[in-house]
Amino acid sequence: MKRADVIIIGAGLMGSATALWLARAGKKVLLLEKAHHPCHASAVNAGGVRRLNRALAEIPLSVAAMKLWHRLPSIVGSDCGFEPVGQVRIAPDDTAMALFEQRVDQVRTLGFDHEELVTAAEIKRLVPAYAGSCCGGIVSRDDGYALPARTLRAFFNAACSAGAESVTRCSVADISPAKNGFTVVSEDGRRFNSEVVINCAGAWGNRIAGLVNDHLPMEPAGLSMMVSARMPRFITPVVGVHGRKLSFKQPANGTVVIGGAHRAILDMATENAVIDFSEMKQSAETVLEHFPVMKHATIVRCWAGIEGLMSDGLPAIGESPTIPGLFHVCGFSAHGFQLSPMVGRLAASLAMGRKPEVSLEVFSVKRFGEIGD
Amino acid sequence: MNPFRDIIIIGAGPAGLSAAVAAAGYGLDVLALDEQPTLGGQIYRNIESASDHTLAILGPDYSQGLALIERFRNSTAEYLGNAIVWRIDPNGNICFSRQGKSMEINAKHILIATGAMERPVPFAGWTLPGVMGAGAVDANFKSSNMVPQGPVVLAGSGPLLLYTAVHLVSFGVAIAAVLDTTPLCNILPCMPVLPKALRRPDYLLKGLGMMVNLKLAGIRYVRGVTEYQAHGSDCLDHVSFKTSGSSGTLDAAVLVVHEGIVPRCDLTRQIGIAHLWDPIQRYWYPKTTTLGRTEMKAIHVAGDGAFVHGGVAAQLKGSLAAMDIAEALMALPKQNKNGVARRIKQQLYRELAPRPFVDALYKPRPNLYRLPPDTLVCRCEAVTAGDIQQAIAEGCRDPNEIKAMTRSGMGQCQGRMCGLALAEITTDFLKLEPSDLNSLSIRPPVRNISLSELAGLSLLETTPP
Repeated sequence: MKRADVIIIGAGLMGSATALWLARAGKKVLLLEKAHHPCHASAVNAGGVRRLNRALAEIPLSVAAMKLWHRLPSIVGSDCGFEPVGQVRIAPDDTAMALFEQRVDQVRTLGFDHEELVTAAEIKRLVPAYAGSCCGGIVSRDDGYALPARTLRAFFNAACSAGAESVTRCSVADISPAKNGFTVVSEDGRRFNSEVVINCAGAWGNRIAGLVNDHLPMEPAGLSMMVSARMPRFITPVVGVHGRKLSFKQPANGTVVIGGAHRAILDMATENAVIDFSEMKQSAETVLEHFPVMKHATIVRCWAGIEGLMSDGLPAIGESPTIPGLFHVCGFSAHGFQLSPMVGRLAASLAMGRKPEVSLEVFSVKRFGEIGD
Repeated sequence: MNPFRDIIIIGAGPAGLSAAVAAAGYGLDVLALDEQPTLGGQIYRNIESASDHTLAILGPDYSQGLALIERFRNSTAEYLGNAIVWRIDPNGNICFSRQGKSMEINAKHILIATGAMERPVPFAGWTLPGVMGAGAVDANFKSSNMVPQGPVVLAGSGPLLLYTAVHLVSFGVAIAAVLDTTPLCNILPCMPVLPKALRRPDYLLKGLGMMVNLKLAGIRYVRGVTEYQAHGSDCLDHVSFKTSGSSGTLDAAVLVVHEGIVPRCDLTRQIGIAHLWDPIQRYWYPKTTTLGRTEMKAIHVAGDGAFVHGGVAAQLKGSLAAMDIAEALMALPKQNKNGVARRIKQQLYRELAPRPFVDALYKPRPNLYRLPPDTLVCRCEAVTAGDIQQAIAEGCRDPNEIKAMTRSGMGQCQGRMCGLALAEITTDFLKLEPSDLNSLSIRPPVRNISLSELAGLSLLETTPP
């Protein structure tokens, strides 16, 4: 039986980042990954590095994470392909603009100034290719995008260099209390022992929670994206439009990545998210309506990642109310990528019994009331 | 067009046509889709318009397709050319593009008969204009009677290389040399399967005949070539090569390369059928029964796309798959099927007798993918062998992660060209076999379509009757 101070279930971004900070604090960490390599939300998300338009409760965490994004090379030895090209959210009508005004006020009241209300003329200047209706928008100029695969590899490698040990093809089948902590058993019978267990299993977080009879209000979802062949550069920032299922960017390589939370058909048994082409058709229509420059764009492929969506859209970050020493860090509801470097640091603090630098109270699992049996 | 069919066959080559004829004969409603403008696939390409001269030059291997196409024309099967299938699903839904418009149709059963392609192998200079595959030489001749202007160098290994060389000789094209990379050490391991191959002396004699033909034409034939490179600034200028003891250079206007034939797996990958790895011929093939049945109820695969056995075997495999589907659709009683299937299977076994010998003799050389770091592997995204080795050094193991890190296989061909190379480079480096790792995911659309075409996609609004 392998022993460690902390067992982390799931070697995706949350797990790898948590492992990194724990290992750097001198903890012996075991990172258990069910696949050969994480291949769902962490690896294939759209790569948005966004503070813009986050739930108010998430802003302090997101702002703290952003500071880490700007100094990733000194943390994980790679910039993870981060490009701070800005994120823009367009108000197509006056109603949306009124909501934006209200929102920016709220953000400022909380003491943050990264969201900036801009005029239609400024949107035109930032996104000249946009042809939809526009009454202005909000902009977060230091936001941007990064490359998920590079980010994941950088965090995973940094965690391993710091001493974390990873075990792949190790799907967890059982977690039970043991002397001085927990015994974790994999499907193929391998046994591991630790004082602390952290559930970083993403869309499978609820399955892992279920092993200790915690039940998180989480629904897995497959979210689809598509990408075009390279095109002459026509857009710099990442763009979304209020009320429309559209997220749109052209990374440095010239391809155009199109998202917008279009659902794929999910088969959790085979871990397969099958592209629903009625959704992709709608997505294509939405893109053409807002960006006629895409009329001759070529679609190279569509894909989907599997995300864990929480009932209130906020992640679960905190200790199990029923099992002390077991922490849930999952359910990032399709917007965890940007948060991940900071979540890792805070989750590591929690697991070591230290007070996290940013309060995690709002993400506490206790907000769901009695979640145990 | 009726969008709901009993069987939709993807690919109108020998397997697809023969399956269509058989299925139509059982009274099933058959639609055959093919991406080419004419019937026949690669082997019988453009045969309905071929001149007597072309038929004479290409011989019975080609002209035997006429009878098959005539049977197809006389059947009730419907045919749609220029139809590019870009997505299928396990429920029998098919999206395809034709004349710039995409639509969805449905079949109770899909038969994938998309054939094979030449093994794409990167080497120094392979992207220079003037370097082409033997398959492309063949296609150009069949579709437009074009032959390359010499001097031509042919390099690689496999029956198609010899076949192409012989045809170029008969067209009067100047051939500088044939560089045969078949490892001499392949000969010993194929001896145990030689007796079986001798049951079909016609095949072996055909191979020997081609060698004699080249000899009589005075073509320089270099055996034991271990590597070759293409050189030139804007286009091919000369070819260099090495054998174990020597090296040489040859001026060339065209370099024709051929390193074997592999199943085209893009649709079978996209739908998610399990694939197996053939350690002799070193390629992936979809897991099927002898009758072409896959683990997905509504999906069959036949022909060289199931395993490379050649055109004649493909016809037999097509007939078998059609029977199996007809039985599933209750158009063919089981007892009737078994009798006919047994006869066709016997024919197939006879046809396949020389295959283990040929496959072992032309087993790809072990250094095929040991490339210098600056060799371009993915031409869509300009990724080199060194970039891939770098990603492996950073700890990447899964080809899909290497793809995401390097962009190899992320371009417009989705790894059709670089996928095997990526797997071989990775596993060679790690001392593994490609079957030890995942293989590249192929995502829909498997062929590029425009965003406008996707927006105009005509989807089925009702479920099958």
